[in-house]
Amino acid sequence: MIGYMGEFEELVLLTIAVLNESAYGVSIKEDIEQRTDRSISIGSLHSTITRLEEKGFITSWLGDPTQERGGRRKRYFQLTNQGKVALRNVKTLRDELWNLSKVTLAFSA
Amino acid sequence: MKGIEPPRLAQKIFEWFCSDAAVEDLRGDIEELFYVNLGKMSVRKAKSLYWLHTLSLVTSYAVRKRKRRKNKFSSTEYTMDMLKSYFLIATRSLAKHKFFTIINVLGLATGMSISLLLITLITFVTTYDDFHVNKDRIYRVISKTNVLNNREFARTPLPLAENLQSEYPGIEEVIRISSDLSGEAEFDGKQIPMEGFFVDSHFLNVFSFPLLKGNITTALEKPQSMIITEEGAQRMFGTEDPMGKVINLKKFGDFEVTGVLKQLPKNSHIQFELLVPFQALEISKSSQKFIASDEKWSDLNIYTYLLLPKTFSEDEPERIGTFLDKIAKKVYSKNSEFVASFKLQPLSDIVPGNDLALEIGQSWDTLSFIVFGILTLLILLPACFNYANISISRALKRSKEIGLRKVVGGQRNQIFLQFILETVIVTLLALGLAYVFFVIIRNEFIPVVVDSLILDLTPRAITILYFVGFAIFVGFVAGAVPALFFAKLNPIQALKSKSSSKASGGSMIRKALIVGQFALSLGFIMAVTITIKQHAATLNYNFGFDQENILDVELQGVDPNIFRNEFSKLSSVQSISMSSNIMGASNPTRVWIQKPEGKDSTDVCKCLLITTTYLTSI
Repeated sequence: MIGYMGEFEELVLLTIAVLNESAYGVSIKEDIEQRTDRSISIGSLHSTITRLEEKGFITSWLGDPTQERGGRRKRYFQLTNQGKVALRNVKTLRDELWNLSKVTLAFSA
Repeated sequence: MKGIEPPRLAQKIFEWFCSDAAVEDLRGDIEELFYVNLGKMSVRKAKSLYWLHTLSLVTSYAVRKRKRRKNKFSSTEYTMDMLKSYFLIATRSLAKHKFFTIINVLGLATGMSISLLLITLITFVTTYDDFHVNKDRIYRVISKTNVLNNREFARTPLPLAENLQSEYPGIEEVIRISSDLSGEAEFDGKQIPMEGFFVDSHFLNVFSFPLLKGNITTALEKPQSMIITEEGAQRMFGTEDPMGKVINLKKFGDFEVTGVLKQLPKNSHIQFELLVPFQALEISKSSQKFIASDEKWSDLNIYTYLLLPKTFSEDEPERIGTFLDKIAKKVYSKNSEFVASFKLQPLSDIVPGNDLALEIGQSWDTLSFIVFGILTLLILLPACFNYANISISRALKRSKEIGLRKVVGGQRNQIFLQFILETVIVTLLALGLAYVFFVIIRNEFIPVVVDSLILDLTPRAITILYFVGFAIFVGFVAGAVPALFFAKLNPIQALKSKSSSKASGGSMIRKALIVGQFALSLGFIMAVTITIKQHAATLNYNFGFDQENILDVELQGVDPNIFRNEFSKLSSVQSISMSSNIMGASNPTRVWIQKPEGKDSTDVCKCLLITTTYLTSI
């Protein structure tokens, strides 16, 4: 199952890609919540981020201390090449399936 | 939004839970969320959300992972190599500081030797009656009475056994045991006092005392048959074969030996040399009281044991209990002077168990074990305190080592473990010495506590295992304080300072330990001094009669006239006088005396019956 990616993992990965330079815990959480209209727990978000980092899909670095966080630093996330390849693979597979299933889906709609 | 902060307790919990793992960004995230939420909702709601976030993070994989890799240069895992190294360092350090080691080992060994005694005693007592094949099915009926401050008696009235046998269908065997047999046994002109019981003939089917000779089903069938133990046979017949020999038991007539029992295990709560059928008691003329009748309900004269069927249901003992209650109600309703109720006691509860009156054999009540246990602790604890004090005061010698360990990444719990391990090595050494002490004091101790015949303090495999477990436990108790102290040392101070690396907390603990140790020791010295004085006072007290050259001999059922005749032949015996009881030592006979002033008023007197020369000879 190398390269396997869950739905939530994909969502987080894409959001990091969207937020670009400003992807950190709170911003990722808020962005996903806004877009998908679902509430996600901070714990599971960070667990998923940790897993993505383990898989080598993202890297992270600490930013500067900020006032509104009690002087604590933010950890920013960024996609690695490996992460981009993984996202692309998922997309290719999806596209392929979409193309093949177009007829049936059109029927039911 | 100034002034409002996230809940402090939640922050503390987070901090404590993550210890020194890198979670700055995570805490920042939830704090940021908190302030964002403050703008959107009530303070209360924001705070509870903060709690929720904290819990969600604390239990998340993210924090788990970060805790695991919190320090690249140190591992919190305990590898075999590390333990080996600890062991090596510990042995080196112990070998280097021989004086310290010897003092500690000696101190701990003294404290532990008493504990070993207690452990052996407890393991021995818990094996009581384990050898009976039917041990889970054997019950005894005991009586709770309204006499002697509502004491419980191990005996029951005679008719109860018959009632159980005939009116309660679910019992496999009812065994009656009477201890009236003790007295002199005569064979071939030789008279030897023997202990024995009258028992129902199925006694050996219930209790697993193996027969060396004879048939288990027929040995007690005839009323004039008798089973003797190996040791009893040896006393009576020497090396001769006891089978078929006829022994005369004064009051009860002649009995033929039909079986020889293997020597009884010491951990049996029933001890005897002879077994004689219960029938013999019933037909003997001198024992009219052993014929069951309704008047006999106020005499607690026999022991009643029950064997339940192999597949008895769980509530069977309870049902028997209600049946016993019913009998008691029926029997004692009219008789108000003596009232008793009965209950079942499983074999395993007899020894160790509660202290019952008229117990069939030696009893080991739980209370005396607790007292002994507390005494043991009082002796053991100062030894542990002592170890802790000496170890901490030696901290200077080890502080460099600990400082260095910490600098290269030694974690607190690793240093804690190291010193615990070192203490365990010391306590294991002490165990060796304590065992030697134990063997020495064991022989002194046995006669103090109890008739040595029934106490077996030879440790078995399991006892040795308990010993080792105990030594490790003592290692933890004695080592905890110094190990904590060392684990807490500040590495910079430990490496730098030559004179004092005292952590302030450590000295407080030490002071407390020293005070505790001295208080206990002083208490002991006082207690011992008082005991010695009291003992001396008791011995030297002037009772008003000459105690020199007087022997008090308990006759144990021997005919007094024969005794008097035989002993008066000895030239060293000047005079012989007799009393009904040993003066001061046993329960005297009670008599009721009518007071002179009125016919109805009586008084109880304790009464000692004596022969005419008694007063003059003392």
